[in-house]
Amino acid sequence: MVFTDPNRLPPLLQVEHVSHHYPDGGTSVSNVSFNVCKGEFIVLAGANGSGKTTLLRLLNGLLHPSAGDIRYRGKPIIKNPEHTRKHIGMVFQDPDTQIVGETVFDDTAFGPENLKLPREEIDKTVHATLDSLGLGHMKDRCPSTLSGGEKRRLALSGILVMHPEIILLDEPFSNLDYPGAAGLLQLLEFLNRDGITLIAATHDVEKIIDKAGRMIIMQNGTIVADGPPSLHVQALEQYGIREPCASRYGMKPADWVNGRKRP
Amino acid sequence: MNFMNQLRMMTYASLFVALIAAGAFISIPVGPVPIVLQNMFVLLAGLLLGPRWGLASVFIYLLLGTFGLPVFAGGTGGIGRILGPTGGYLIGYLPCVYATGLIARKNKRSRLVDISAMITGSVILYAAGVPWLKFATGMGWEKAFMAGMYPFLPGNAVKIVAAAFIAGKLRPLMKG
Amino acid sequence: MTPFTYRKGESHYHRLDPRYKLIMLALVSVSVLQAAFIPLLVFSAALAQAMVRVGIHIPTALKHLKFFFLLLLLIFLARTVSEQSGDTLFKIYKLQVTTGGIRLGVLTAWRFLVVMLAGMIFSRSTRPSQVKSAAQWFLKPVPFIPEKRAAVMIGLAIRFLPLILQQAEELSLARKARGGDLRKNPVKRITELAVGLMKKSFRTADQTALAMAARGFSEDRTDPSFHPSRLDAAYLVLTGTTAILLFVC
Repeated sequence: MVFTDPNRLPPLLQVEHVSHHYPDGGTSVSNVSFNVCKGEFIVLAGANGSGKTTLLRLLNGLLHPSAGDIRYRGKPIIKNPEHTRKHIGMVFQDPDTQIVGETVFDDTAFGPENLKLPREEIDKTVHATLDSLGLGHMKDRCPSTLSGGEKRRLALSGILVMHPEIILLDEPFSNLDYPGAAGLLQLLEFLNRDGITLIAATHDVEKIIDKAGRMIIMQNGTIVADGPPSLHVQALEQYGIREPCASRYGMKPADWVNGRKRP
Repeated sequence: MNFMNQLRMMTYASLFVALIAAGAFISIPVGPVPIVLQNMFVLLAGLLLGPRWGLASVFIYLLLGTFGLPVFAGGTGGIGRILGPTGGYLIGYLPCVYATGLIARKNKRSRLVDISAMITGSVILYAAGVPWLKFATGMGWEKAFMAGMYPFLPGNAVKIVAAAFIAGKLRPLMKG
Repeated sequence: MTPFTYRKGESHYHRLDPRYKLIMLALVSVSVLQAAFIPLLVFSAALAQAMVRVGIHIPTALKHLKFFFLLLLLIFLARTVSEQSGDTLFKIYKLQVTTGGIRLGVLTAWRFLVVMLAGMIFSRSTRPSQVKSAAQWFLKPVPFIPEKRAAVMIGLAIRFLPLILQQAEELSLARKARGGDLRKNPVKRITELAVGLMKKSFRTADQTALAMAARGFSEDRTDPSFHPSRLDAAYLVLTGTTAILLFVC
């Protein structure tokens, strides 16, 4: 790809003709290409089994593509997995599987410990991260005693402490009640405004579509639509994804938290 | 992806530490005597993890118990249990899991191999447990066998047969 | 939740360095197993006070140990009949029960109980993550054992345990709801429960391994840090002296 416009930043992430097949012939991704620019907030929509999760895992280097190439800042991600995982964080669907520490503090410290940062520095950055997420007062709590929303925030804190450039989220709203989901949404919006690139895979588009600037729709492992959410929102149901209520009644997608339309 | 396989085996071995510990709490009533599943999980650790990772998981389990975490039978822990009269059964888990894992790994995979591996492991376990019981309590050999082996044999046989089925069902699920 | 489970607290025992605490526990355990009657009595009183301080409700704790008491009874009986000294109290068939036998039986069982209770004080007042850190520190000089990996495994095991117990409960309830308990074959019952339990937890383990990789797991990681204070030194000296006294008196 050649960049003729010198003012345009090169894409953060380049996905070129990527395919992936599981050895057992499970869900896979076939010939997927797209670019991600810094600061984007992308909804990756698709029914269960459409290949969203596989794609996310490919982007973070957990899976290797069978064909094609994924580059982060121009460098192939499989060449440098440690570098990739520091800069491209991933929030798993079930936060219980992601949390590995015995306390909130320990869990957030897991990433920096992997980087072998000095202990004092870890203490400082973990405290700062926990405070910024409003988890500071529960730093000694055992993660299994947290609520769903708190667990999700903890999962995010374990990633944010690494100061990533991109965060991948797999079904971020599953098993969250209304306040939990609303809180998470506000947090994501805040992070995005802070310059972090977000890619959220979900089949529950309604909650997030209003915040996202771009929607990629997947079906059977391929990308079937890519563009501004408003352009494709009405096509969602034909790909097996529930269309947001407002859009179904011919309105613009509403702000899910406040119920107001976007200014 | 060697790193990923290593990481996965480590996670499985940690899972077995937790299963062995949980096995002290999970009992299934069979007739009047409840069967405690702990030593079945030790045997399964040998079958499913192999000798080295099996040994690692039993070692960590014993370490946690020695440090006083309540992972030994009846929700107790502490060095007192290791030094106590039933300590031989705990220390015996180490050679037991290693032998079970080694026999299962070195032979062609079959239910018969699994069962003989577990029988060997169990024999080793009693060989460690019964003499320890005898010397710690000062009872005679005959009484040590009466108290520390004979009553458990039927339950043990049931667990070995069950473990052979379980191993057959779980092996395909384990990646790496 | 058992008397062995860690609970937050403000006692000295909560504040001590976990490595010192483990050394103290080992000193106490070894010396108590040698202790004579009177010193053990004195030590038990001190231990009971320590239990109260760390927030252990003694009656609840003793109730929790009911299976352990069966074991103690076995020790008591075995010791009683194998020791022949002092006056003969009574005779059953060939077994002679003597005052010396009873004395030794009580003493042995009591020693094991004290060791158990000392362990309870430790685990009640020490965070699992501290146990993990201390384990890593003690394993460092041990050859052939990668102490950092051991520490990670301890952390994971502590995390998996409540999940497994919870799943076991759900499974046995689910089985009861479907009338599974009516089936009498024990092999089938065990297989069903264990396969259900392990299938689920293996999936969790797979996910956890993946998540750890995603979070950049590396075995070469930052070591835990310890901050021993004068309190630790004081307690160590106190415990060391007590251990020597228990040994020689």
